[in-house]
Amino acid sequence: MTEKRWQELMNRELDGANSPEESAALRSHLAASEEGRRQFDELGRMARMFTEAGDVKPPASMEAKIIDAIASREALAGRDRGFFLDFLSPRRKIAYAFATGLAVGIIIFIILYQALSGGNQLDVRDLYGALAEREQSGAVIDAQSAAIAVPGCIGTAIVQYRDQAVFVSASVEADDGVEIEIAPGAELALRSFRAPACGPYALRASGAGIAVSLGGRCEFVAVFGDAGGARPPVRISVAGAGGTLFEQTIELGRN
Amino acid sequence: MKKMTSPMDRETFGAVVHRYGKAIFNVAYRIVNDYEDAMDITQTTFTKTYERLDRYDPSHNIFNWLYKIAVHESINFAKHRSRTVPLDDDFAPAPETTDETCIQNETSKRIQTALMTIPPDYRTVVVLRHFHDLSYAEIAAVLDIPEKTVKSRLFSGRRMLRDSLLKTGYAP
Repeated sequence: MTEKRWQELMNRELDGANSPEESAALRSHLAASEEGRRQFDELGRMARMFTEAGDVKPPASMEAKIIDAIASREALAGRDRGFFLDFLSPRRKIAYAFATGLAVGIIIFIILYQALSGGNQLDVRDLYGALAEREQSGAVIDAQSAAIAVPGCIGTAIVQYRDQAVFVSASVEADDGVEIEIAPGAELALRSFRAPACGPYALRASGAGIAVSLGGRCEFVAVFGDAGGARPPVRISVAGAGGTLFEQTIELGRN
Repeated sequence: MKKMTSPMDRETFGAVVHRYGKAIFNVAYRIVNDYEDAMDITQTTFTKTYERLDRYDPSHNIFNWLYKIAVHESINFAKHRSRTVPLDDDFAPAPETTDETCIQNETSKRIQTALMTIPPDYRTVVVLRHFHDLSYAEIAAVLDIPEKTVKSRLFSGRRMLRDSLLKTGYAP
């Protein structure tokens, strides 16, 4: 047996934790080892020192102070209960605080959203623009352009026949009062219109198409379509104060 | 278990304070070595116990629970103090006394001085074993550590204690 093991057995013997066999083995070891006996006696004397040391006497007022402290804390908790919801468990407090914070956050978000988006009023131009972008994902079947070069208006108009719609985009520079008419006929209805880079303009829609009154530089896109997928000719015309300045009809597959 | 809130309940808890107050005070005192601090720790132990009675499992001995809180508070205090006021290895302060003098015999003072030279974790195990006669298993339960660790700390603590006593010229 190693020295470390004998040390452990000595300590365990002191604590009354050895088995009878372990105690017997230790006694045999101590009988044969003077150093072992010295160490064991030393441990025993130290243990007796603890017994001799005894307890330290606490102040006589200790119990009363403890009871007073408990009573004070109870009274304080009772006073605070209404303000700090002490009747709730800590977990419930956290849950309620989180729910309240979330509700406040949602309300603030709704208020800010309405304020920034102008309340319930819809931005028609943005709405049309979003629709046009969605329909742009369709494949182009045919695309033709019309060059506009007349006094008071210069630019280009492009007609795209797509899977689900007909796109007409235009980029023009025009004098004030010029009106560009896009007329695909009664078969197609206007689905969307977007003029992302345009000065002041006015859009007028009719059964035959649309008319855009503008002045200055303007880029716009108009989307027409119907459930049946009709692809009729599209008439593009430009009119000024003196009457029609330009007119051209685009037809699918003509070129 | 419902928290005891009626005056009668407080009186009942008063009996607990009366029965275990001295033992808890002694645990704290032997670990922190200061009469006033031991008083504070004892008071904190009982008030915390009272406030947490709704979490108390009556199938367990309330004394073990008190020990747990007292030891935890004492070790925290001792460790915090050792960080803020480092002690010289060759010096440990004698116990402070008040008007309500803590009457200690010479042996008590010597053992207390020696106790303060060993680390709080080891000191606590020695205190619980020798001053409170707790078994390895009981100490393990109070400290939430394995019994093997209890034995290791106890045996090492005794060795350190013996060395400390020898160093101060007192041969056990």
